[in-house]
Amino acid sequence: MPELLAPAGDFEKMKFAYLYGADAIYCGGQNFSLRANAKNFSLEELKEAAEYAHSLNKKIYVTVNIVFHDDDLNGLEDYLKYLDIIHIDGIIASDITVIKACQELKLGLSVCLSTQASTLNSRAVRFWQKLGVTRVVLAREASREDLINISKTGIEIETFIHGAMCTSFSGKCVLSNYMTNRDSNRGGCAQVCRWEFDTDNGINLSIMPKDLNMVPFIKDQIDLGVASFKIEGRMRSIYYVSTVLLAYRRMIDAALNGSLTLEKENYYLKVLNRCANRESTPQFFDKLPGENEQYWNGRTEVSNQDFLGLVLDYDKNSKLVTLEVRNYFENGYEVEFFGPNHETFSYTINTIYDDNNEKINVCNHPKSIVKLPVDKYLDKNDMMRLKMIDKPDNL
Amino acid sequence: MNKLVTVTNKNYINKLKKEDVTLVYPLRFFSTGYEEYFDINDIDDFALINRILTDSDLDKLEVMLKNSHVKGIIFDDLGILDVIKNLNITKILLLDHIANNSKSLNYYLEYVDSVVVSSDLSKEEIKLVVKNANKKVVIYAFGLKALMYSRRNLVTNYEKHFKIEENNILDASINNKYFKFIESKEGTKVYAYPYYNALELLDLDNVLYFWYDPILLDIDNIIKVLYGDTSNIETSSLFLDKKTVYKVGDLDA
Repeated sequence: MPELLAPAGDFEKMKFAYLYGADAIYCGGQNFSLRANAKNFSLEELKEAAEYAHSLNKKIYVTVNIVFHDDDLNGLEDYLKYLDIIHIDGIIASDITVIKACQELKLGLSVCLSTQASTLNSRAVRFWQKLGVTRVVLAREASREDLINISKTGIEIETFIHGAMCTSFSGKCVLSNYMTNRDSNRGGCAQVCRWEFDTDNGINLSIMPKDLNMVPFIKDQIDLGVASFKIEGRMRSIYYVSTVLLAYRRMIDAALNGSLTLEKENYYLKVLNRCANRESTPQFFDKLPGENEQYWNGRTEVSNQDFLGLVLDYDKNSKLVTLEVRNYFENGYEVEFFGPNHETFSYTINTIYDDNNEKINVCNHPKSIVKLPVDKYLDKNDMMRLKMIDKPDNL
Repeated sequence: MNKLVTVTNKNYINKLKKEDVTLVYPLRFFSTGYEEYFDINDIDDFALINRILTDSDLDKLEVMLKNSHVKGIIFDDLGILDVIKNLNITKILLLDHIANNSKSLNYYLEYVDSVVVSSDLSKEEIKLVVKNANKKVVIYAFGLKALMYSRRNLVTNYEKHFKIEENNILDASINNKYFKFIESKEGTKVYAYPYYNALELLDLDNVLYFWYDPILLDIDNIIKVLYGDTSNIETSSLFLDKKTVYKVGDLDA
């Protein structure tokens, strides 16, 4: 059964990831990790995170995936030893110095080769296997045929199934360095590939890819023996991570028990695209992406306001749910409640109580506490969102 | 003389051969980001393979190299190590942006004759890496510096989308920073413009080759550059004098 692997930019996101179906999370420490803009984990938080993960019988991987310059190597060996001592399950790395250090220090950490190494063939995989690498995150450019060939090496295969794409092979880009002096291979990527370029002909050039989704090929990748399905996005919100995880958790479980239908896939794809407010495609898995797999000029990134509230409590006697407000809503709104322990259901808001139990018509203060009468039981950390997509009755 | 020069146009070969240089030919279907590519039978010096390859590509390459007359190979994909393990040729690894410290460079040197030192490094970083290297290394001396390598056909997609006349080379800019996009069927390379000029590093010791990669440059200027004359060419030191920062927060430090 493949592992569902989630991003965790901080401790809170890690807890939501496990709650919403992740079997494992990956996170970064405050040094040596890409996504330097994420909050990341202190040494003490990493220890606490490992204990928390293992108390749930889940796994935790730590990214040590920057491309090191000489000045950055100070403290690396001590850091790896520390990760070993606190029982991190494995590290994700691309720099050969990190990988050799794990081997030479005889650490118990499993070593996963990062997608930054741009691996597309079995001979490159065998090179890394000899250095102790037990898992490889394939380049996002990997096709179905590449996956089949690499699986013959016996290495564990991890594939990205959802999230943002680089325009470049990961690791093969220093556009950010050139434009902003921020090193993309050391956590400072300024996402220059999402900017528009001027050209001599007056029509701006866009090279920004749409996001990745592997919805149509989940069953196929399970059958091909993929060990871990990875979701991108350590900078993303708890709403995004929870929504994406729940969608893939349910699709993977359905694929495993033979109940994954095209109707389910279509529904979850709409949920995923709405959540990110971006279109997504399988990109390289089934074909070379063309113009339809890119965004063109004039697009502005606007987050939607669908995440309306986080469930803090549910009183079975009064059937009142206590919510922390996240975005504006009012009486008459058609919404949905979703969570890991029940099917998503629709609800029309008719009554709202404020924290003095007074009836109000609108909620326009983020983080304020309100109550709604809801007949169906809800768990703490379930979520309420604007209903934008009709869920088929049989799902 | 220990100069490598990429052949960017077949009409330049005779003139280049009169110079004391080793020629590097982008191998057709196995390289990207050049104006011209060469069949294996036309290569009598070094072959350049700068693509990330699939198993099928490697199988084809293995057959081609066995029957070739190449004297050396410059390559990016680590899978090629297995393909060339029994070939008696000079093996140079080109892991641009990836092997950026002395330890990593020395680990890779255990598998090959030389490694191209990353040109994202500052002058001081390059000097340190070269000094610490256990074998002689290769230094980018001059050329268009690759900033990005995409498997996508970015130029074709753009021209198709806007119904613009097809051309595999595209000039672009953002905020007075200039780029050259060069595409082949196998992908797109994006280069910084003006030309990267690291001729000041020519006095470094412990260097197997200094590499000149004069993409889009005419032959007269290529020859001049080989003699140290860049007076007619716009050049830049790129990262040589501008060390990149580790973290976003470092920008304010």
